Amino acid sequence: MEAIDWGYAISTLVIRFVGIFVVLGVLQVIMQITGRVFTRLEAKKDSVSQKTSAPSETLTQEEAALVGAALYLYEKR
Amino acid sequence: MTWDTFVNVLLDILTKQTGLFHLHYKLAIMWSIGLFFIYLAVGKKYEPLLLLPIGFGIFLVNFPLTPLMGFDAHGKRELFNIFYYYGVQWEVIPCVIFLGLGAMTDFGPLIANPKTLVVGAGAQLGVFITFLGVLLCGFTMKEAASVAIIGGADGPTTIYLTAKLAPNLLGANALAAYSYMAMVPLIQPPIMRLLTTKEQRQIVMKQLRPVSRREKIFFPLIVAGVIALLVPAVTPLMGMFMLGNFMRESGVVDRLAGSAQGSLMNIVTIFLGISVGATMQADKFLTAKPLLIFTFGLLDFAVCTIGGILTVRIMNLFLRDKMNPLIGSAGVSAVPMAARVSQTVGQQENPNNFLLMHAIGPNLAGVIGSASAAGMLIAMFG
Repeated sequence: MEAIDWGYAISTLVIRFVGIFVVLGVLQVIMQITGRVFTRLEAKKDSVSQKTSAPSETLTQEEAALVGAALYLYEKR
Repeated sequence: MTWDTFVNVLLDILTKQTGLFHLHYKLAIMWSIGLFFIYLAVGKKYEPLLLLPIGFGIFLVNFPLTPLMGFDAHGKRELFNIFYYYGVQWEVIPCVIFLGLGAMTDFGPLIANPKTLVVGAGAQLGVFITFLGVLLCGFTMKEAASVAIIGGADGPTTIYLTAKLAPNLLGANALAAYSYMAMVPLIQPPIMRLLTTKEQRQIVMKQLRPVSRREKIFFPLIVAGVIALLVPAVTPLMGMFMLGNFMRESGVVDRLAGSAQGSLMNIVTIFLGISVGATMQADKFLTAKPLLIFTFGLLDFAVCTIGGILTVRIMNLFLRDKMNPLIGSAGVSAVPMAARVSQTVGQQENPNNFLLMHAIGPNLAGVIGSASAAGMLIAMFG
């Protein structure tokens, strides 16, 4: 049986357990930063697409009905 | 031909070419172990994909004179020995399984709540405590490291580390890991209830934000980069895991992702199961060590569960939006069974509380955490 250096075993274990927190902590920070960046990018993309499609979304029901009727009359002429 | 000659030839055949005269009580014990795991797989449906081929491998390899795990007269490896040597000893199969797992996994819940990564780290507590306990029982440092990783509840990681550090314990370690993973619904709930109050178990967590496809594409690249930089020893495992996930999320190689998580994964699972079972030959397995490994494996699982729950409770001291500590137990990996346990225990307290997606975050963090722990142990002793 090999002789065990308990001091080494315990200290290296503590360091490595903390090391796992460091590795996953670094990943957490990177993921939070990229998450924020991507969320902003997506929000910007959404606002641009909303702006381009704004006219159709701002139509009231009456206006939509009028447009529909006008198109119908135009087709029937 | 005289009667005597006939009897001599017959006896010669029976003694040298059949196993009848080589039977031993140890072999009978191994058959019963093999049949027990087959029963668990078939009768109880506990991890059947692995326990069935493992059980059958144990059963088959413990018949005398079977040309399966040794070398033939010309020095060539026999069938199971070939599977074991090229699949496990060369560390190919665990990495290919990780490729398939990556192709199966949606990291969305983890990306949406990266705080849960820390839970995956806390749930590795048992790995390090068990290491010390196993050392006290007379195991070598490398053996202790291979036993300790069982608590990470990750079969391929356990096999990868054990094949590297203590191949003599491969059968017992793999079997303990997969058995306890199947028993997560029995092991974890009492610990979860013991370490949490009723109010804590009823905490309803904020709904996770939607995760864009671009984030999911970048995630495997980031994880692979960070792990390769900080824990290079485990890059073969994590690199393949993230490659599988990248193939899935990129959306441009559906055929490859499909193969990785389907046929390829199934094929290597068969070879892995048989190889692990085949290492459990009576003369090597029937010692005190496997019994100790199973005992420490259970302790390891329990301490890892405690570690995950306590990590969430400590994090809650500093968080504005509290996390339900029941999701901490999912940090032991065992995807997705541990997350389902969190959901089930949570719903027993509050039927309208849906913790599953929240628990998947620490569950996936546990996979990364246990692989990191394995990397640390390989760096120490590999």
